[in-house]
Amino acid sequence: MNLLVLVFLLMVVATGHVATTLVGLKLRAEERLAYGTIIGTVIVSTVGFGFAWVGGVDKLTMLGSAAVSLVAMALLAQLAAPAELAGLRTEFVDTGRRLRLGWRERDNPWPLVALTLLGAVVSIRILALAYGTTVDGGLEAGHLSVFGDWSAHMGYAASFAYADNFPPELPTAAGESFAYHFGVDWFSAMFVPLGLSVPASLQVSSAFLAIAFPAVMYSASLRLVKSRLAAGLAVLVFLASGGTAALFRFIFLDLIDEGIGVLGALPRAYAFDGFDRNWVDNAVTGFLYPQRPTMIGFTITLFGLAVLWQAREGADGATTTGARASHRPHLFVGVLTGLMPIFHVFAFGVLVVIGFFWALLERTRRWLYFVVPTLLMGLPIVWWQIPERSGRDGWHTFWMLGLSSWERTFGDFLWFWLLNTGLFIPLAIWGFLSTDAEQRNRFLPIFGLLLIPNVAVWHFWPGNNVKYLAFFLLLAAPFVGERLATWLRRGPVFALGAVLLTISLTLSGGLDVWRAFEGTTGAAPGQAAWPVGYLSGSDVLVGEWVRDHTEPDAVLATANSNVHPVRALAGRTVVAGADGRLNDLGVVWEPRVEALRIVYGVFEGFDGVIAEYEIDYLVLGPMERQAFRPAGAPDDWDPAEFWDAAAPVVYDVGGYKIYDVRSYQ
Amino acid sequence: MTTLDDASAPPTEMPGQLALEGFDPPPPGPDDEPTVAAPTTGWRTVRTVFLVLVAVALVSRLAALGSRPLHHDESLDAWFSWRYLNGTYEGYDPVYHGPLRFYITAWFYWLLGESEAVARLLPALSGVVVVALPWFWRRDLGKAGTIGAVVLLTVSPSMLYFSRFGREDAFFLALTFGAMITLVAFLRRPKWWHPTLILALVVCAWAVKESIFLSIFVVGSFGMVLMIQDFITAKPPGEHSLSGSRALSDDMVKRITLVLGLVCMIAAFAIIGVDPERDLDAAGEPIGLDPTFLWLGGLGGLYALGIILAWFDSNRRGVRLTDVRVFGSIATAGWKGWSIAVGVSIFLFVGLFSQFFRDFSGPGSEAAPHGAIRNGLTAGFEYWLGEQDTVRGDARWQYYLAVIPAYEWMVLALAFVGIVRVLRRPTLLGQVLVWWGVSSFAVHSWAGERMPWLIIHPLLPFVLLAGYGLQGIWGRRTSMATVVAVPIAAALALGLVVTAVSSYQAAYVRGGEPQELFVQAGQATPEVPEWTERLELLNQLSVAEFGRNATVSIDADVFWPYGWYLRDYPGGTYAIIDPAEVPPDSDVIFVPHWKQQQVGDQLEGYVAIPYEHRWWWVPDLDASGGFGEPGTVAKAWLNWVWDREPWQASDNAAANSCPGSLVGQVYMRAELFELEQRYRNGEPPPAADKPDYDGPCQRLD
Repeated sequence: MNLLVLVFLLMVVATGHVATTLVGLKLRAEERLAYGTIIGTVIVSTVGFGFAWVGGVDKLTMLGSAAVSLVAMALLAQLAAPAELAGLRTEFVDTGRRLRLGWRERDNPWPLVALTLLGAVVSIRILALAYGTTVDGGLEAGHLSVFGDWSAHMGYAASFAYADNFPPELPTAAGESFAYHFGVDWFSAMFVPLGLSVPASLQVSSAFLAIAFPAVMYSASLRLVKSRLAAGLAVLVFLASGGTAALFRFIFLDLIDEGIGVLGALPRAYAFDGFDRNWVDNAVTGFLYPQRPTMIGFTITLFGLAVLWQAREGADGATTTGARASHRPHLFVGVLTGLMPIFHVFAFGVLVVIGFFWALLERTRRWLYFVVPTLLMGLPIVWWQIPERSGRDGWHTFWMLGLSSWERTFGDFLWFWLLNTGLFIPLAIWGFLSTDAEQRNRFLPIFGLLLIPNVAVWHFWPGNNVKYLAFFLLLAAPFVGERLATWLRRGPVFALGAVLLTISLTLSGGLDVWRAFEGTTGAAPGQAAWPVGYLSGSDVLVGEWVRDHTEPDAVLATANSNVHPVRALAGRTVVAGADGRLNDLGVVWEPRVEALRIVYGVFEGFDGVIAEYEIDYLVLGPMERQAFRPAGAPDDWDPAEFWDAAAPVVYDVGGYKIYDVRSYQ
Repeated sequence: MTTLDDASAPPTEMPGQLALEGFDPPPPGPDDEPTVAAPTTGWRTVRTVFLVLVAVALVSRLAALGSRPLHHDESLDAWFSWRYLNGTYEGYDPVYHGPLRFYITAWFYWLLGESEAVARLLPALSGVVVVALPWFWRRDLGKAGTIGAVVLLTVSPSMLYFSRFGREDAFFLALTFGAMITLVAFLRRPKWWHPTLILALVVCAWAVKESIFLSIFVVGSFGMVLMIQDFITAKPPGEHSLSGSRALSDDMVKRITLVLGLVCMIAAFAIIGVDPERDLDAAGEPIGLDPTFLWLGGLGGLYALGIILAWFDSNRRGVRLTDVRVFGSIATAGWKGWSIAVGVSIFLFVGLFSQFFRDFSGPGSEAAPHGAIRNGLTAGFEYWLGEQDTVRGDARWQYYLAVIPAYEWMVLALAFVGIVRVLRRPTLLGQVLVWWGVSSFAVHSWAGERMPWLIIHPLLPFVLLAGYGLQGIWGRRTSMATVVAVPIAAALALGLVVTAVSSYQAAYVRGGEPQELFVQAGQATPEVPEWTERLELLNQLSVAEFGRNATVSIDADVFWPYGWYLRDYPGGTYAIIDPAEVPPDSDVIFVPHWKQQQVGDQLEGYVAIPYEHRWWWVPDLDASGGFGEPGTVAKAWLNWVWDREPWQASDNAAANSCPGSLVGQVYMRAELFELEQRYRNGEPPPAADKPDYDGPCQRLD
């Protein structure tokens, strides 16, 4: 990380911090900092995207975007909330005072500071291990998240950073609209002109958002629960979630077999077993780390609901203006929600559903300030993102059970949820029922997030249903935390029970986080010992060459692999990326793959395919030779025999050749 | 955050405090009190400015931290830390100094990854701590003095440069500064935990660098002089004035003892000399006592004699031992306080020198032949004594006299005002700073190793004295005539700007270029990181095209800092190349210039590429350097201050010093060279950015 990156990040935080004055609620300095980090990310990314579209992706535009965002927020705050803006300094002074309070004082922010520091160490360590180099100059992936999902994210970020992807198109499918919430990848791309490589930009932007996550969740939870302990437990049970698999696999298999030393090389992931029986992964290693948009979506959802809860009718002294019916909280959350389809479309859905539900409960005019911007801004983006292929598979019962190897019985259904979430759901229901009527009424829709994936599949890949469940775990965690905190204070027997329950809820996920954090893994049968090779030195060479020597808007024909260097390092648009679950996005892949077969096999009509997809360069490397070998072709089949004579070779190093095929367009 | 009010809080005491018959904690004497008393609202502004300056220090220390090529010593520190991380560090060896910074840097690697910037992170953060620590002395330094000291520490070229330099000095400085602050607090208002903190910091500093022995000498000698002062000026219980019973005032006693003590010390070092020659017997063994022990022992004896005489005098006047500050503070800590202090120190010492109780055997090297603990206790001191005879770095005792003013003239000018102020009113802290500054300067000038990175150790107290001086000027501003005040203010502002520009140039623009006096002969040229990247590309190309790693042989004489840069290079790169027998399978060979002819003659099918490995400039600072006219050195020095153009004496033309560099040749297999050309589409590899001198050097005739 260099100074420009640091300055940029500081401006992002400052932008968000100032923006929180527009919320119109009484917030503490540490809350503003935590929320501001995410809000600043959303604002600067949005402004920067517009600037980059017009002015290109360069250092000046990126720093200018952050500076303009900061100044704009300051001016807006000066106009709309001068008192709150002036009060920021007082809030910091007050934080200094509260830092000196006793530990037991509720206003003491040291638990939040400690939680943030711990989260920072864990986040930085995990993300520092994301990429490594191999002896041949290649890249290795430190975690499944990096090998899998981050391949796509790296390609998206690189497409913005190096390939001038404005207006955005899906870089993995030439000519397709960008049917993905790419905001966080654009945010990563903003670091590239500031001096970071694309892999480093993913690491730094993820670390930045990850460090803020526990602080945001703690702050939001603290508005919903009665104690700091409950808020802390809410963060713990969510971030270390992962079901009960470790109770058997770790305690009765790995620990007994290898002793305590197994912690130095955990042989398997515990919360997730590759969609056999454990589908619901740990929040950190399964949702936040690989699915980077969640780091914005989850936190904005928590912020939005905390604000709307604090601003509800009848809440005590919540607004800074003193007017309980102030519309500013609703307008602020409405605008943020309207932007969410760019950053995390699931968060958009959740905020819309819960927000509209609360609007129905209140039925006051100020909810229009939430509803109108949400719909006006959000729906056009969603409409633009909808892919050409529908992913709806319809209704069903007992989601996942029908897809797993189990019988579709009610017993298996219960067993499935016990394995995947332990006693989280009963505890959440208990906590929910124990709270006051208003909170019960308002948060009832979160159980819909548990219900929906059990009865419907609305995605191309049914496993995506787990994304609804993740929101349930996130929003129900404060209820679970409250319940555990209550028992911890109710005598030794209850406290012991609460401790055991907490362990049961967090052991699997905690071990998975530890495995990512510790970095040295063993391998149980069928599992990988991380890190693993991701790109070879030869791959890196070709990827960097394409980045430096081809036109930004060039279209390339490559193998449809998840780890192809042209896509990952150069960000250039390719005819077909991987057609696996990580890259479905509603694209109809089959004709594209078939087109590539025609080109590489030099079958009749190959020139028409080149013209149809406007292919500029044809890459011929080990992956292409393997992927597009025609059935029955001889062992020494090599399309280079044809292409060497048919098109100029512009690159020929290390088993890769690149042909300039523009003459066929 | 600590408030100013906290300083007046009663000291906390341990249960079971040492009970001395009739003992009361010594009342603070008139010089114990800070020069600025009660907090006022103005301190809020000072605190805000202070926080801003610390933020500036943080940014200035961290910005582009990895951009300068690693110096030879930095690469060794980075490499040993990496070895500790990988479990191959063999333990404390005084040649490479103490292990604590290896442990901490290894932890940074573990958390943040391995890079040049991370290798320099500990000194950078230590540099920020050094900038912030004067806050603890704010009531002594005053508002203007505190801000002045913090500003000077922030912009000081030496402080900035060596806070961004991956050796142990900045970390050691932060530890000793912390220990000094705690020690002064202990002498003023002793608390039970002060000895624990002081000893813990000393042990940590011990586990960082052998300079701790010099620091102990400085503090110990001051303690002896302080005892003389206190015995003379101490008052019996119930008596508040010695007026009429003694010819000299308390302040005069302090002035005399302070100055006389320093003069005796400087005289002792002058007599010992920087390179003492001893008579040898027939077997070549030295005869008689080592002059170092003889004269420093004599100095200690002189101080001890002063203590005894003063004690007799005070005893005659009915002064109790515990009325003397040092003894009173020791007693106040109580036996539990001291037990904890000793226990914690031993635990820390054993832990730090045994790699956290994991390895009690030493590396078995010549300089560290014993077990880990004994090495920690004795090997460092023995090695340091042995090095006294070898004279490492600059051989001239006046080295710091020439280099420090070149960058820190503003600090020295203000420090002079500060020293005058201390002599006018010799407070405890003022005396500490004067003693610390002058004796550090003397002892570092005398010690056999004179290196640019050691500048910061004697410099720190002078920066604080400069703050002290600035407060004096600020305090007189209302009584100054405008015609005096305006030029002083303008000169200070101009000096600050010039210093800041000089600092910026040295740290960022010309960092690592040889015309800077901070750059010592081990500094790698920008070609080294360029070649590192190129070798990595060549290896990628070789694996991709030929299916094997490119074999690289770097001769031992030009190996560092590649030992760090190419630590992960497959197969290793270190080679002791016999010019008569070139490694047969090497794709790339690095040799120094004295081997290149012979090696080049034997190689066929290789491309020869000129190479510059390290560079330096040793300015002719001596009056006897062969310059024709008096004042020529001063003129050249002033020219350098203005435009950083190096110079050399005309009779030194062949000395390869204007600037000089270790050059050599890189031989690359033609096949690999052509492959690289092909990959780059025929474009040349990026060329290192090097300085261009007008002269090329000023010639002094």
